[in-house]
Amino acid sequence: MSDQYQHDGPAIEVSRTSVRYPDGHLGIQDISLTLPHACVCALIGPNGSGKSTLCKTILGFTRPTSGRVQLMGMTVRQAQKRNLVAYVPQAEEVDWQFPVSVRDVVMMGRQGQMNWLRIPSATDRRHVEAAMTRMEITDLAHKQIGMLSGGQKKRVFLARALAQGSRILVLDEPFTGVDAHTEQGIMALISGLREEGVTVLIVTHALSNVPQYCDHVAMVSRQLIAFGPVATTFTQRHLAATFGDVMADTVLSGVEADLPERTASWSLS
Amino acid sequence: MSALNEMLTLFVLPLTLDFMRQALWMGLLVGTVCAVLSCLIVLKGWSLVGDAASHAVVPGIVLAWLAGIPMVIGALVSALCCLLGAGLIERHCRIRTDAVLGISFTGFLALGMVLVAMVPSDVHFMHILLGNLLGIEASTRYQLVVTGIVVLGAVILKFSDLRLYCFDPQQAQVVGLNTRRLQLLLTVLLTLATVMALQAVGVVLVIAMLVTPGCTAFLLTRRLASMMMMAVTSTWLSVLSGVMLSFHVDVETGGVIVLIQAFLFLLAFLFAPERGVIFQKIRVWRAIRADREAAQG
Repeated sequence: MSDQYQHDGPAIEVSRTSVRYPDGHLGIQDISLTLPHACVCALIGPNGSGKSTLCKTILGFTRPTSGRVQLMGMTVRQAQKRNLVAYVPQAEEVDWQFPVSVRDVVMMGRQGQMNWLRIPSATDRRHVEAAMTRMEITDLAHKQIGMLSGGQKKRVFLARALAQGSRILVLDEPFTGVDAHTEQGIMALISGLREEGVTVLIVTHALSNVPQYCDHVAMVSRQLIAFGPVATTFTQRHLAATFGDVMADTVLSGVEADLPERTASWSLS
Repeated sequence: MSALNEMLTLFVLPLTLDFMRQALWMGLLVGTVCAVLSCLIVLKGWSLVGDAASHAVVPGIVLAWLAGIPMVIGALVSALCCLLGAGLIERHCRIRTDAVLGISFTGFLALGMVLVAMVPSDVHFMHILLGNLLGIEASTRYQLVVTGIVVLGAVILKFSDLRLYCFDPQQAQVVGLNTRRLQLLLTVLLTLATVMALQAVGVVLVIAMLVTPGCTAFLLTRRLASMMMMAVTSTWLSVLSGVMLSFHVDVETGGVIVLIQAFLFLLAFLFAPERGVIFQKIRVWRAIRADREAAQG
């Protein structure tokens, strides 16, 4: 992507971070994880496990009660001011009735880099056009966002993140409500971004295809259960510790069915 | 004299009078500001915030009058205290936003009413409660014009950021915008619009000026800029006919304006081409019939 900012340390560094909500409810406890550059990491865990709390903390929407988060060696706020982070929200979080067109939304990816009056420059327009072309939504540019199908809606917000040209991309449940074709497209896009040096963090419920597009995986249940390369971490033992035995078996048998050619790369006992 | 001429006379006669012309100009100005703001308020889901602001200005206006400072400033400070105070309370306890706002603005309104009763004054404050487009004083008029220019200017200059803030505050934060500042800006603009609307329709009906045009326009368009134009158009229609009617029929100007706005909303609700209820029903009915025909043939 476009930003030329160089940083040799880790892309995302979460150090001993805990979040406790004002009502005393514990979100996450003492989580540390370090993501290198150009890595694709799935963040998985059961419902209410704190995976979206961790995601919100990394994005600066929730303040940690203790510990800290650093992105590209900076605080979250500094990284955001430099437009180093992009975010694709869950479809349910978007107001689809809002009177904006597809192009308006994609242009919102450029908003932090525009001049004071927010008049798009030639560069901004170029990025927006490129992102819309890559996501194949150019012909939808003038549609109001509520008129799109589920897959198209997803692609609009992916295009917005692409247009931003950030170094870190956080996706919240990107595979919910999309068909198999779009799902494959999103996975191909994620792999492409890794080639370009982008670090991608994906919060997801879709466990079975994690090994297909991720190189790292983090399993969360209040605390960090396991974190590391998919080959050594996406195992029966860790999945069982995170989700329970039955779920772990289902997931791994699903993985075997989906990807017979890759089952050899991580051995199952 | 032909019927057309008679109509024209009915229309032109009020405008030959100085105070009617003033009322019309003020109404159009206030209406424009409120209509533009109403689009953002409705989309952001801040209707109750607008209602709260309109009630919370009362003590500020009385105190400003006592202190001899411009009414707009007193109103702004008072409403901001109410809204920011409610925000502070909400962050530190588990009561829902609407309930906290309810407590906060009724408290401020009650304080205002106590102050009105205590301060030995003329009918001056009744204008705040009921509004009177036909009797705005010259000094107030000046304040309204300045406030209107400030609010409209801010919305035009900050259009893009305000739109992003209303649509997706998380994205605003992620791309490095200061969302707290944007929230404060929208709150201040909303309060200023409220103070202006008070003059036209009074405390009780202010919320109509700040909600109805936005809702009507929402049903008619799919882009924010055109939604604002549509809201302004519908408000101008209401103000114009409200001022004319109140001259000929001798009814409360503010009340008529709000009534016509509600009527225009009802029209949009029923007859809007895409989001209106009637055309939606027709589309569903046609689709069902097409399905049935396809199944048979």
